[in-house]
Amino acid sequence: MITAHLTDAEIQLYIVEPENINDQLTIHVQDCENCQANIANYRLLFNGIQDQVKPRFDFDLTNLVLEQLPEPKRAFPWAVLLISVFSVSFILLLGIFFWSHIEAVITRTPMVLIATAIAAAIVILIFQAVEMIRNHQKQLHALLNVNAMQL
Amino acid sequence: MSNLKDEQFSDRHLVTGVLNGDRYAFGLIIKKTEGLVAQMTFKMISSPGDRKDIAQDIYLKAFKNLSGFKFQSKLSTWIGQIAYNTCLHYLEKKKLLLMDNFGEDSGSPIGHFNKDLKNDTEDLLFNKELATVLQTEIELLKPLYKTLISLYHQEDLSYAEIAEITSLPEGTVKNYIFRARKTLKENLLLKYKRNEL
Repeated sequence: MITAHLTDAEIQLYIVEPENINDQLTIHVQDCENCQANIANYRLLFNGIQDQVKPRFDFDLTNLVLEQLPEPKRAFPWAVLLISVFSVSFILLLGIFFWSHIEAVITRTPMVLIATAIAAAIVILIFQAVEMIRNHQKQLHALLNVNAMQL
Repeated sequence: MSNLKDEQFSDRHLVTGVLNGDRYAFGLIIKKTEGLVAQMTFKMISSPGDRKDIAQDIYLKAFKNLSGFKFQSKLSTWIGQIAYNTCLHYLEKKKLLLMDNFGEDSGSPIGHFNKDLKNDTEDLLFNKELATVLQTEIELLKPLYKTLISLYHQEDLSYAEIAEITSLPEGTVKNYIFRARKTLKENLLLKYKRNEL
């Protein structure tokens, strides 16, 4: 059995990384009151450090920083613009190309039928708009709830 | 519940969000790492007014350089590095010492500050007293030692993570933490012995 007491380095290692401690040292500790006292002191110290109150800023750091962040530069939506121009041009071209057919359909169809079709389209659009607003409100509500939980 | 939700926002998710212009994601990064930054600034900077400026500076630097973050370490470690370097720069500017040399092993005889306690109330009072004394003793350490001790024991960072934050070799980090603990233990023993006399 080792007779010399454990050094401070060995005692710290004994507490922090016990798996790296030599068996002989462990045996020595079991029979040595001096080393046991030293280990107890260190344990108390480690627990004391761990239990110290963690420092906290007494101001809202997140808001302070977010206020100073530069506004994000949003790239010009070229893709959206291109798709829009292409779609409008395509519809116009179709309109011009098939104008004689469209005109014939409009003049030959009874007014009642056209009015019914327009009314049906308006009703469908209203229902869709209401549904979109509801969805939007629901998503906004969910997002605000998550924000509140996170921050 | 809140911790679980925090976990869902992975570092990559948050960084991508910020790079796509989502300021809220940067707010979450601040919330996630604020404790570590507070720990470092409180230990390294003594002036409360300067701490406020430095804390903001750390996050503004992080925001500016976020596109350069390569996910080779945890985001918190990367922000810890920025915090450490910013505090270090401040100390250098103010010509303040980050550390000095500890004395060699004095081989002082073993004393006790873990008294035999008779009951829970005594135990509680002793622990309270020890916490106050320990806080004072930690404050007396040099900024680097205070920081290393807190990162290891309070923030539960590994030696490797602390080495990454401070750019010190892992062996040096271990050595400094060992010395800081030993100094704390010896100072506590001295204090309790003096009180006993």
